[in-house]
Amino acid sequence: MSRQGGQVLHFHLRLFQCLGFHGLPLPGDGDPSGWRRRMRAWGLFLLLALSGLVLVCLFSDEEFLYQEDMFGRVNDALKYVFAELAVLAIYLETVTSQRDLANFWYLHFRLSSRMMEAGSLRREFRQYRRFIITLYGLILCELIMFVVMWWIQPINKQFLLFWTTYEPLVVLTYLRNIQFILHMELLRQQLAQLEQELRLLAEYSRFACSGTGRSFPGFETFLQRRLLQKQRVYNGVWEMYRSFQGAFNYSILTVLLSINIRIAVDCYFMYYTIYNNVSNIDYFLIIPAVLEIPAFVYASQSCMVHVPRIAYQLHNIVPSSGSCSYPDLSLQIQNFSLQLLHQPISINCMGLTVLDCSFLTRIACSVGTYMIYTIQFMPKFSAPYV
Amino acid sequence: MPSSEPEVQPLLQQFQQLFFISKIAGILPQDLEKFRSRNVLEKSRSGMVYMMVTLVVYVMFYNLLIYSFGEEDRSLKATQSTLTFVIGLFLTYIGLIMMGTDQLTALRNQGKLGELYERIRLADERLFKEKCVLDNSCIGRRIRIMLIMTVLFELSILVATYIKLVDYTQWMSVLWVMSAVPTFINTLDKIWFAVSLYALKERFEAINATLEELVMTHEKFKIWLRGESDNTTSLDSSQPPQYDSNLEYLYKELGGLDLGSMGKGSVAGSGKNKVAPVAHSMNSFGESIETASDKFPRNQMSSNLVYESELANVSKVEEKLNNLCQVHDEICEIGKAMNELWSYPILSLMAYGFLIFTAQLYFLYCATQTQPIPSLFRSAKNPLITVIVLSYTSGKCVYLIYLSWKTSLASKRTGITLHKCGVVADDNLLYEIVNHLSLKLLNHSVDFSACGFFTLDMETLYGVSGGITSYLIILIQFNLAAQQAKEAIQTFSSLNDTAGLVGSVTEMDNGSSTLHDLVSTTMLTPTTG
Repeated sequence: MSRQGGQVLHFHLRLFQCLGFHGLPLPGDGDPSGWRRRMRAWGLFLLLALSGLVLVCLFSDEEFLYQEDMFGRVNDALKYVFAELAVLAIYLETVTSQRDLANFWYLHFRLSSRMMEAGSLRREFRQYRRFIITLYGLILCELIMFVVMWWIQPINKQFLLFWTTYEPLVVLTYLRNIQFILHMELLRQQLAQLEQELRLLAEYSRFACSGTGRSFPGFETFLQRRLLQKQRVYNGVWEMYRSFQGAFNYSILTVLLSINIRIAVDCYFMYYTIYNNVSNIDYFLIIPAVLEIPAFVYASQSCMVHVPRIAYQLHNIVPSSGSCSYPDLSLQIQNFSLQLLHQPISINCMGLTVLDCSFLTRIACSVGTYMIYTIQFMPKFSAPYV
Repeated sequence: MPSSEPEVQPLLQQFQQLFFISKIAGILPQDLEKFRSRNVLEKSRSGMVYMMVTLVVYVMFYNLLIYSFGEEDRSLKATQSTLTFVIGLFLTYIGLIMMGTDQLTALRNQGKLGELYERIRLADERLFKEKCVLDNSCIGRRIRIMLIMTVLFELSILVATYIKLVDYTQWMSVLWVMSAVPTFINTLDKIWFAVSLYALKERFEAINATLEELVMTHEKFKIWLRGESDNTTSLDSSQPPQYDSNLEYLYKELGGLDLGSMGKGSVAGSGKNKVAPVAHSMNSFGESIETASDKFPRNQMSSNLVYESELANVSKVEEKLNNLCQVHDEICEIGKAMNELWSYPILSLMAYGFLIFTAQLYFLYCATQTQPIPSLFRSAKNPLITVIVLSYTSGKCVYLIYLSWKTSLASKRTGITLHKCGVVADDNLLYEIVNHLSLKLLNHSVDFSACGFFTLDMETLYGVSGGITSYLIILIQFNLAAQQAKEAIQTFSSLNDTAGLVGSVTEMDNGSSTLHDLVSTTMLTPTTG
């Protein structure tokens, strides 16, 4: 199976395909348009099934929601509603934005041909280690939490009903989040590769101009050609970034929002249960959710920090020094530098906010603020409801 | 002028219906006849007088409305919570202020507005000279859709509220119609802004498309050149296809192909082949460059009949790029001027949107708790009408913000396409031009703001939505506290009646000193609460 991009990538894309997240045929599948139709139908089917599930949970007489008091009920309903919103956005986006996704993968395969060719499995694992660690680490964390939970907490019917219906939605949002991380990781690899190549060029030019090294006739033209090629590659990477933004537009917002809401609601509920001495410790299950957002932000941040590095390496290329000066090369460097200024890579969700580490700070602040606001409600609520 | 350039239709031609309605409603003072015959906005004294009269009439009737419906409020004042009452009082006139801002600004701007559209027309002519043709017909369609949406929203809110929540047995209830006037006038005014903004965005996009086309024709030209000399560079074809054929098929079929990027992809591949890797000997490398550089003019001579690329001719393309960038600058300037003209109306709209959105949600909460709410905001009593009101108000604000953001993005994209031109042509002279223009574009970006208080982009939306949520929570909390205090007082007074003992004790304490009074009340509230 000499798949393009290797077996690891192929396996995980197939996984996302099964979940209805990746609405494209993989390299090697025959009958692309048939695949595309089938993927679309599968996505819609999953969407309808999950929406039906949420509706049943919200409106049935069974004890899907927390029963003891009104407040817990509202909390659970809120979690369902936002999870449904996320699922809706995910599948609608998968169905509608196949174009951008196709563009992304097309550019990826184009550009990655200049990177390492598909080698051994171990090499692939090393290449995708960040993604693999994130994916399996988070899944493992979730599983461990559940096992511990079942061990400690006596299972009642409500608990079972709630978690068997809510957990699939949670897992779907997590996996979608990890799909974002995969795409950002691919983007990061391209950028890192570009930075590396520019660093080599810079070293080379320094060596050639250092006096000990000798430049040869046509050296300037050579460097200029290389830079031009890098400019084209950067443009390709930037188009990849744009396709990423186009392919994952609403769902970034809704997935992050639903995770955020879950954290806020559960943090608050934790305080509430402690305050009212309710014997319920399922709030521990938010720990994986707390890890999701930093994982996303870390991936996007590590992707974005490369652009200034690329600019730095670009200006390390020596266009002139004492004995030799290359006006044309300097022109090319200027051009690339201006191009970098025009094409910044800043991952955001619909322009609402840039998803870097400061976003994490803002989320922490907002969760804290809302906690304080809502904790003040507590004595007022507890009187009539408990 | 239009007769000499019949191909360029003025933008205002599409505004006929909108202008007619705006004129009748008293939003614009310009002359109707001149607009009809020559599509120009010109000052008109009678229009000014008419507008002033409409403004006075609106203000009078609106005050009458407030007065006649405010009677209930005055009788309810005792039972209403103070907070609700104050918010109601504060927001009573905000609609009127917004309408007044719109109309007064239109009066102030009546000369400048005509100039603005004239500038757009001149820019269009310059674009036309650069073979950038614009289609204004979709603007007319957009105006119609927006008008229909506005009327639908206004009517549904008005009729639903009137039927459900107004006592229509009294003849004074007809005055309720006036409650829709400020929002209607405001929306009409904003349609002018939104559509003009959209037109600017289209112009930016047309410039980008022209540049992209330059890139594409040049790429075809290069591929054709290479095709001719394919036998010499057989190395290119020996490379296996680097991507899956299925994906390529899909890519083409989906039409997602930003043709530029695909062409660029193929060029990127070939460019790499052209350049010898570092490991290669210098000789072969130097040779390949040699052929690349001399191949160009030779083939161009023979190719003129079949393929032509403007980018190959640097002196010609320099002029074109210069012209396009100048038009780009001009459109940016027009955008800034337009933003300036509408800065106060937009500020008042944003303030209105924020306050009304928060207040409506708060009143909805009050209504669900069966508390009385100010009579002007009675639409909050029905959740469905509230949803319509909220989507109408927020739709207006969000659309303007979204459009400003998109326009700003489109103007920034020109720099990117300019660089594509430079990279694809790969000529030192052109690089100099591109660098110069690129710096110019970097310095000339258009950003829309409301009076400089905040920029109209999506980040503002993020901040505003956060603000609304926190204010809402705080308000609800105050309301809860006030209700509980009220209940506590009631239970306390009933306690007073039944158990005389407690009452006499507190009364005795109260009588003794004011300090004691303070202490006893502060100590008593937690025990009752």
